Amino acid sequence: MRDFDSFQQALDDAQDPHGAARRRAADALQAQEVAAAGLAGSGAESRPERESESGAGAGAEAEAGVKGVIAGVEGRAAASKVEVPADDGYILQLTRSMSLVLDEFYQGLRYAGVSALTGQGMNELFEKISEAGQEYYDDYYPEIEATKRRRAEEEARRVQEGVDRLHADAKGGKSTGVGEAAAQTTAASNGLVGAATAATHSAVAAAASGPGAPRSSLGRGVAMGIDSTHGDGGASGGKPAAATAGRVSSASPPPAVTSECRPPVITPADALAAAQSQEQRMQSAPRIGVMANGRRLEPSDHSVPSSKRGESRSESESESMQLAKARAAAVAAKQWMDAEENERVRSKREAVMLSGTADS
Amino acid sequence: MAGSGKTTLLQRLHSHSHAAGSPPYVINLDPAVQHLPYVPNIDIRDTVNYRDVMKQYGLGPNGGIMTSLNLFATRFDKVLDIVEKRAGEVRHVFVDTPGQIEVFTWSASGNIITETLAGTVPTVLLYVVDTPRCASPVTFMSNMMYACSILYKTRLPFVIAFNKADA
Repeated sequence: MRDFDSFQQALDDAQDPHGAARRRAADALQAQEVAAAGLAGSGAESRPERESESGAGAGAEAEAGVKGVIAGVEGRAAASKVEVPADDGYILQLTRSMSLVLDEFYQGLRYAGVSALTGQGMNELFEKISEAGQEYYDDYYPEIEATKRRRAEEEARRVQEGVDRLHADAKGGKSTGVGEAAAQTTAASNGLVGAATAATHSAVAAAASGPGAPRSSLGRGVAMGIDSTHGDGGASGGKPAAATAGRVSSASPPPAVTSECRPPVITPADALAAAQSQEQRMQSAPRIGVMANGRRLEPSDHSVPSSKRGESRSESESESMQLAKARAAAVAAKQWMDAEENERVRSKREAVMLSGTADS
Repeated sequence: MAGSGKTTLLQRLHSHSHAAGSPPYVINLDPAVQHLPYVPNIDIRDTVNYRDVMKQYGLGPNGGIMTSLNLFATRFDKVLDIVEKRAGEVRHVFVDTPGQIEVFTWSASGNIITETLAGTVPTVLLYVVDTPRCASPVTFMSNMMYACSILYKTRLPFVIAFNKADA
């Protein structure tokens, strides 16, 4: 209601006898306008102001407000100069400070007085528009071009980063992840029945192309599981399945807890599924398989250097052996899954302890 | 500013351009206008029915205008295509906007329309002021504050037309 005060002050200035009637005006906006007009009017000359006041006294308050505005305008026009009286009314103070704020804005302001009705000042307006059009080319256009360029660069950099990351992932995957594991698997089982190798490959590939693509621990877990299975099978083929399983379960957790791996939540179940599918494939796969690189794998394929093969891999390892290993892997995966489940239930400290024991 | 005579001024700009021998291209973006004193080349009313929008969405007048504009903004790329195609032929493209500052200047669609237009063709803002009403210092000041806010928001070249100078 500060503007109402200024309004009242304006009334006092004009020595309005009907101030009380006007004070009842509820609409703040209207009061504001009346106040402004009244001030302008009182600043110029008091005649129109009095006229409006008498109108206010006689008629309704709303009407008085409108008349006050008109009278104020008339009074100001009579003085032919905006005279804002020295006053401490809120609106006045605000207007003053705003006018100071706008000083900078006025400096470069392009304006034209026109009349849409009579067409007065249209040429000037068109001139100003042309000037402003030039300003667009001078100021705005370089700016927008710079913005566009910056955006394009950012986009290009983002794409490049993505490509780099993809390359890095592909490379990393080859050296440490799926690729390596697959290579190990290949090496380990190269001497084996070709069908088994192909099946292993497809199982790993299926797992790796799952949700996590190259970085997924899933593929690695499976690959490592298979790898260790093969390794065990190769080193001591007669070892009981339980030992193999133990080996797998101890080998598997690390990828699950390393930082670059995905959360282990999806890993065990998928590993189990992958292992099972491997088993199924082994049962149904043809004896001569085709590797991922298109090379046909014969049961007696010697084209791979012997150094890459398993040290003591016997070429005549039977298919039933493979099946047993796959089952062992499945069991291992299941155990791992159970272990993971337990680990999830336990506290963090216990989990750390568990991983410590698993590592040892 | 509402009621400052934008549409009438546009009619004057239109006829003045015609008289000068360079017919302009005119786009009307005010869905609520009843009658236009000029014939626009593109009219938002051909695309969106303001009354239906109000009825369908249960909106008031301003909400109706805003929603109509939002709907139209989704197709504004077509308008830009046309404007770009005609850019070589016409000297001026005039765009008539809704008068409510909050509806056009401070809405997402108004922003989209202004910025895409400014990114496509040289754009100048014409702020139309109702001169007789500016006799009151407070009205004048709020008008200027609006103008200033729009200038700083869009950062586009700015011309203020003090309309109704004959009054």
